[in-house]
Amino acid sequence: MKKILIIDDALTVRMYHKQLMEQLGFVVEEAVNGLEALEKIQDFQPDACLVDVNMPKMDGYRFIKELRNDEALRHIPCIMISTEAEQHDKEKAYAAGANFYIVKPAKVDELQNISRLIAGAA
Amino acid sequence: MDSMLNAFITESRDSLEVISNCFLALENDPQNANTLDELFRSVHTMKGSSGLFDIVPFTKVVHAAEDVLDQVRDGEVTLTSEHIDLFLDSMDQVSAWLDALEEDAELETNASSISDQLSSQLRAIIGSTGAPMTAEEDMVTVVELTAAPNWLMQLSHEARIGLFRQLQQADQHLLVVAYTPDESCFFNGDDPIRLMQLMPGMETLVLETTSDLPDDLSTLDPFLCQLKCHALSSGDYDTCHNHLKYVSDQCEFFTMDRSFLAVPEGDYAPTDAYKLFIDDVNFSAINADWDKLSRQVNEMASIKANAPYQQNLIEWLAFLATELEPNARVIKALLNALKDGQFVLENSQTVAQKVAADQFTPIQAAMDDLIFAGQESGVLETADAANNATQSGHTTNHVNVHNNSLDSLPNAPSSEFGSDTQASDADWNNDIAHDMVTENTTVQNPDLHWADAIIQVQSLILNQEYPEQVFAGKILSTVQTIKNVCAVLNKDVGDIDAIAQNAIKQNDVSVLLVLLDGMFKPVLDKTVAVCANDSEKQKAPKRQTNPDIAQTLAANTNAQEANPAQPEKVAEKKAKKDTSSMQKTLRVDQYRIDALMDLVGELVVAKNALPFLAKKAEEEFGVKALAKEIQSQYSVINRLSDEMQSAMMQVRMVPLSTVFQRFPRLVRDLSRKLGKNINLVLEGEETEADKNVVEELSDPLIHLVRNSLDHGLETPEERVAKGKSEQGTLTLRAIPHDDQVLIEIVDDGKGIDPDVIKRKAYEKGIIDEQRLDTITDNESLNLIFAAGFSTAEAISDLSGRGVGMDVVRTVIQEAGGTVGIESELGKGTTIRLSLPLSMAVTRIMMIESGTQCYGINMQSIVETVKVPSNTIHRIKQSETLILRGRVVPIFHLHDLLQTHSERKESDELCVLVVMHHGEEIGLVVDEFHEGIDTIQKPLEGIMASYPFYSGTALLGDGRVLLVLNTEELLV
Repeated sequence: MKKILIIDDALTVRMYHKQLMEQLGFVVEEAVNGLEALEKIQDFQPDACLVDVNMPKMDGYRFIKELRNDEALRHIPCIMISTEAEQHDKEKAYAAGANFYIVKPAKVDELQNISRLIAGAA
Repeated sequence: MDSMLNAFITESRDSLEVISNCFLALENDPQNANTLDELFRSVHTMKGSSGLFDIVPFTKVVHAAEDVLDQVRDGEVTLTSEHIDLFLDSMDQVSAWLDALEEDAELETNASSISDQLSSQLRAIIGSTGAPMTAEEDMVTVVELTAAPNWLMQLSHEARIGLFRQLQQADQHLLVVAYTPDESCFFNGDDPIRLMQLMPGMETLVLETTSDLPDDLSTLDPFLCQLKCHALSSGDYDTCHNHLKYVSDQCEFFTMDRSFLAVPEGDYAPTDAYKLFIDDVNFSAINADWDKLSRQVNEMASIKANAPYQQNLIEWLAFLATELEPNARVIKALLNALKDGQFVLENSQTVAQKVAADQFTPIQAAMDDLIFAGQESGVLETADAANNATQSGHTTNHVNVHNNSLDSLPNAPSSEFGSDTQASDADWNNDIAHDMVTENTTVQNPDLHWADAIIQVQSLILNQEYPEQVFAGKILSTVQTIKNVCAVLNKDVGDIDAIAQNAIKQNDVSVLLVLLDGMFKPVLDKTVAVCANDSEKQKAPKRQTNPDIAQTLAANTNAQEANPAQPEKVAEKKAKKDTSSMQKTLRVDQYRIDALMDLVGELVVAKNALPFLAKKAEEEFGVKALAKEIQSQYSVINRLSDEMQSAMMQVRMVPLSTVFQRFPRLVRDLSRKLGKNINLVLEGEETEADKNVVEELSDPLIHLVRNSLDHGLETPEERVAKGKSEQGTLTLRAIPHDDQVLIEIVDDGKGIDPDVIKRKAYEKGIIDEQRLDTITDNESLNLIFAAGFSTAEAISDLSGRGVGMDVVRTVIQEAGGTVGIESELGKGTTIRLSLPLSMAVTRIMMIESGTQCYGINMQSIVETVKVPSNTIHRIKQSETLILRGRVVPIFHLHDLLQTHSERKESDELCVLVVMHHGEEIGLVVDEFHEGIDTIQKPLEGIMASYPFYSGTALLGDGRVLLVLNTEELLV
């Protein structure tokens, strides 16, 4: 069973994404910011992360950068989800190390298909 | 979905709380970056979450607030008190909407007009009216153009630059009007050109003919109007629409970013002069650093190079970079043109529409084929919906509707199609995903499109330059992504890990890129070709079965078979829903907690029956051993139920800050209204109490704070005149005290004159003449809590609404608390509320008077003493007791209750010392009994009219105990 870590400070969004991911049969773990995500990711060892951009304490960019610096965890694919649809936001996400960028609110089929493929869930 | 809406409402309420606190904090410290960040984040979160629901007015206001705050955060706008007022009002409205959502799951009907008003007011802070946005979101016909209309190129460079310059102060958006007069309009007496020229805010008029003029002009019918008028107006939609209202069916309105006026002209001559400049400026453009770009461009503009095209272009760049919201797309197109002389405005929306339109026919053909092949009727609907979606591809909302209907259909491979036409911006993955999806929806395994989109993004990522320390991380994560995608599609990737390791070692990704190139392309290319092929045959009859498509369809069916039993798998996985992910907090409906609390309360009382049972076993049945056992079991149950009760209490405890938090706003609003300068100090906010108590507290506290602001604290002038500091201080303080919580409302205002109170009370007949003489200052202050008392000379807007302090006292007493007041004339007033931490279980002391048992709330009892009867002294008509040097007035309970029982003559008197309005009073009773925990029930029916009793309680042996209300008893 594939595992996915949902990182978002908004409870509603987390719930929504969790529902969508569980529909796909993912085991879901949640974190409310980058810092908590870094703590949880060690034990959880997800197949992919869904990362929000704007979060207190540690935002999505920082989180992915930190992740990419960690020898043991840096291979984990990250999907960044943000309300910003501008090109430069996307470039910033990819520069930070994201593997895909989805504009929020995400379309159900896009989010599900991308997550499923990126996490390698058949 | 309902639970999600609930979560959203709860979460948004929390956010609103934070937002309102942040604003108040900002008023004192407008530049505090942390507060601004927190504020922005809360608003942002709310906006993001609200997007999940269909509450456009809500989202619009929050979005406007977010945009304004973004600028505030960037230091471009400074918030004034008026702005904060506006924000707070908007948030109040948002809060009201949340209430409406909670009740009816939808907003009121007038929400959208309120929303328009609030969001435009908010946007006015940053000087952008947001009018075009509004129009667009409202589905009025004003669509924002994403590229310059072609006719614009008929204007010369000078004309366009002149227009742009002239408009520079105005709104960044222009209204584009296309008016195609009816051919027979001349017969109606219309003068289309004049009509257009008179349009408000008219800037430019360009005329075209609707069809090419015939070579032989003599064949032209001069009485038929064959004109098409295009106009640019700086006026707004409403006035222009109104101006053209009689021909509105012949007009189309659009808005356009004025940046689209920028189109370079002249002959392009390649030159190296701009090479360095292009790199620098590109960098600024990518980072959206418009200030820097503007400086760079201005430097360049001062250099004269012999290249008219480039100079012309730089002139435009200089203008565009200084716009309020520079149009990144136009700027990038200009920069590209500077490189190669090709000005191409990349435009996803028009491209999307175009693609959609181009693909329309083949999709329909494919669908028709499907139907032809005898598929289920569901597919027929799909075809129609796809058809509709294609036609209305430019209107986001329409697509949404159809998209939903598509999603709900089984095996509707074109579902991605509808949704993707909404892609609003030029971007990497969406474009890629879009292209793939639109071109292949009907004929391919949908996974392939997504896979290809992902793989293409990975190539782009690999193509980027990296800082050294994250290089390995990025390579590994992209490789992992690729591996996962390939695993899903059963595609062999070879030894990609080794390639990745090599790439990291050699700092070279070229081998990886070669591997990725066209990974899923061959399959896709084939189908694209099929589609393109078919679109050329657009005019061929649609029913004609296309062998290519049939073939691809067959291939597709095979592909699905190769991916067997996917739906079943998903269902299976859903069934094994994971339970390991636990949340740290639990939000539970309060009613459930209340029900549990009631049960715990009943249990606490029920266990009281055990000691009686033990007694009965021993005395009636003579089984001492059993009595002992019951007694020991009782102590166990007693301990457990105590623990259970306190655990339950802990669950229900909320910090008083939930009530206190609303006061900064209240005090701020009121003091501004009253012209007073008041500093609110909150202390002990973290003190916790039962949720019910805290809720009960809210209204009385608001009343008391209003009173203090209105009557207590003086205006700055008055204060200065009295030699006080200009700023008044109001302190709200919560102090935990045993199993009670004390709340003090302290002001340093003018205080209350007991003489005035006394006189007033006498005038109103609350006290009689005799009492007027004997009443102490403290007692007279307490008169303000009496019913029907109000000292306000004039009834003001704030307090004095006919409900006085007596209501406060009633509410507090109902919650099992007491109210006290202290005041020093000229110095200030302190009001003390004392409340139990919990309302559910109260501790009561049992006493006996005239063979009857009564209960007295343990809170009011100070001590119990037994004194020799000869120590009672008679002063005038009242009895007193000297207790450790204090004079305590004495009352006999049976006198107060008028039970006329025989006074028990004994050497010793049992005196219960209780606290009443801050004074100790002795109550003589016949006997003291033990204290018990009970649930107090209010008196109902005819008993309710006896104020001496505050309620009843059930005893362990089934008897009912009357609980005395000392407040009423000792008036």
